[in-house]
Amino acid sequence: MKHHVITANRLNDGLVVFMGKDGCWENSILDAQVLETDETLKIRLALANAAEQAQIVVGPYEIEVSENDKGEFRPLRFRERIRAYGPTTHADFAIQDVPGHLTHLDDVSPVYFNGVG
Amino acid sequence: MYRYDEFDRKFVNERVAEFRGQVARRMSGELSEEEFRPLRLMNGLYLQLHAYMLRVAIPYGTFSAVQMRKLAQIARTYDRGYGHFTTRQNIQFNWPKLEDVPNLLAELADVEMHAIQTSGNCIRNVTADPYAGAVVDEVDDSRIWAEIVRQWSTLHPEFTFLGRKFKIAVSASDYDRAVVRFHDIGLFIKKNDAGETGFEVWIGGGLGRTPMIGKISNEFVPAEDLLSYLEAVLRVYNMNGRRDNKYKARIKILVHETGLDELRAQIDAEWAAIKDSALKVPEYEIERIRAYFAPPPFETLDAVDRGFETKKFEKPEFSRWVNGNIVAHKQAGYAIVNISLKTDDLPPGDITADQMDDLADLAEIYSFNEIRATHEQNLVFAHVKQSELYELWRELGEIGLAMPNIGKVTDMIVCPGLDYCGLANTRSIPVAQRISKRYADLDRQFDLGELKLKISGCINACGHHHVGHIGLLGVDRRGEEFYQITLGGSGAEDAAIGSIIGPAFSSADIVDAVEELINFYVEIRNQGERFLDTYRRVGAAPFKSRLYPEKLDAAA
Repeated sequence: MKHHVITANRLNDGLVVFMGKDGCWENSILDAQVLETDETLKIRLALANAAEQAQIVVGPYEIEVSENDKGEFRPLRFRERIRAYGPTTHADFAIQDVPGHLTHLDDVSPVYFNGVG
Repeated sequence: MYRYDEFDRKFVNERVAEFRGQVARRMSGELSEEEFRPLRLMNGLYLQLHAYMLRVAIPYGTFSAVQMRKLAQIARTYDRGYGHFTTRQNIQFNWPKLEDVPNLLAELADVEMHAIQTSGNCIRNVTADPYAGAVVDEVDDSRIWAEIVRQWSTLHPEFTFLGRKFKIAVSASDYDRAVVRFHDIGLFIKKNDAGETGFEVWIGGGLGRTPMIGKISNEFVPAEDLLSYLEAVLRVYNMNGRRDNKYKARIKILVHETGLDELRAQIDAEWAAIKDSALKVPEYEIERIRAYFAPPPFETLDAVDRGFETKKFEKPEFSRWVNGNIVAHKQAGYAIVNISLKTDDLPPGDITADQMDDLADLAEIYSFNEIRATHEQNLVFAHVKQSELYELWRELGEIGLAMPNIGKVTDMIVCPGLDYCGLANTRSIPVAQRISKRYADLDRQFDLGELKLKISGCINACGHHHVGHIGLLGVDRRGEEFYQITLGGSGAEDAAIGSIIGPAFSSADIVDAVEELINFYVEIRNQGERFLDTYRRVGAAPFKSRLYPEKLDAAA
């Protein structure tokens, strides 16, 4: 089974959020609950849909993540990395706990990956 | 400048109150996202990759110092201290909170601004020549007509739910500074032999996934009949345009599938029926609108200012900025000043709240309170005294806005790309920043001359790559960013759609590939030839051989 986390945009401010262990919505993917079985994914998606019905988030969905050598889970897809870590163009807008996210000018591959944590 | 009348003010305030109610109902759960989405889009509010995005209308790109100051305050209060100018002469804010948007819109209404019809399947913000009212080569001020079209198209009950969005641009010059030929309707103001004003109407142009140059549907629509003619075009499109497929719903597809002659016959039949209706624009109404765009109180000056000429001689950097960014004004002693938003520090089209405030001050001092936004994501002070250009240049330099690169390789149109946009496949801004860095040497940029480079992060072509002399289109190759190169496009009077030169390049290789093409141009250009001219003279094959030499080896 692949690893997943659940993400959405928060209704009131539109910001990207991730479902945490207690079912609350967190700003950082590092605080997301990593789901390891189809069953937990299904249960948590149902919870996320309930959160959408309750006007907490908009458009929840699951994304695939993989673990790097520091034990951190990072999105596999390029688009989801930018969603999780912020625009790569404005230092002020990046989520700062992701080193290397902004060093795109000379090194073109920092947020580049294909299944590599 | 156009000023709100009682009707405008009341209507915009009512619209803010209505949206405030809709947001409250969304927050309370009375409206689902599905129900709310079309309502927020009608008010220019998107939900993008990271946050909500609000697009604020700047009709034909003309706005005042007071409005610029309000935009600065909004950027600080409701956003993260930035704004982003777009290719429809609008401004976007990338981080507003949904709960704040009603207050934000109320503040905009205070300075006669709104976000209506900046999104959705309606007639969008009407664009115009950013030099209107100032430039030597125009036959009339295109903003007068853009304003008349704006009033007609705002909340037009019949055209609020079109099959797809609809874009109109107006120019009064043979030089096309508003990509008029790539609009759903493009209008060129003309004078006939009798000296009467009329419109050459182009229909069915567009970029996106099916780029097309518009076609002339009528060579001269008399001024008083403009609105009935537009109404006829829109009506035929609304009735007969496709609604089965979002990607085939623009009028360009209708023109393509129906054929110009048949469509023209349909339009003319519709037009004949409504020509003599209330849509006729009376002369007094044209004059009433014209009065809003009366020339500012110019001083009587000599055509050449000696102090200005001396400064150019003394200060090479100033001289370079003048050569790069200044355009001749029709009033003796004045000049049109382009202010580049393609600087070293920020993404193309971005501006900080502090810069907005400072520019508002400078517009008050140097340009009759007035600012223009261009479709190339830059700004214009339309009426600056030659004798004050040096001071203005110095002050722009102090706020980082004296980059002399207008029309040069680093003056790129760039879509927000995957850094902001939910639709994008790849990033655009970082590629633009790398190209800017590669061509940071201004001598090198000036040696290359006019070179329009445009970058889109997906096939929707918001970065106008099809009309770049060099266009880059981001494509997703198995999760990695690749960029396809098109050559030979132009959005100007020599309109053309660029052709794909060959296989796409990786993000790591794309800047080298662009440089290789430009180096090749430098090697083979004739005296005075732009990149585009050289490409048109020699064709794609030599550029292709240079870019993909391994193919030649394989063939040999």
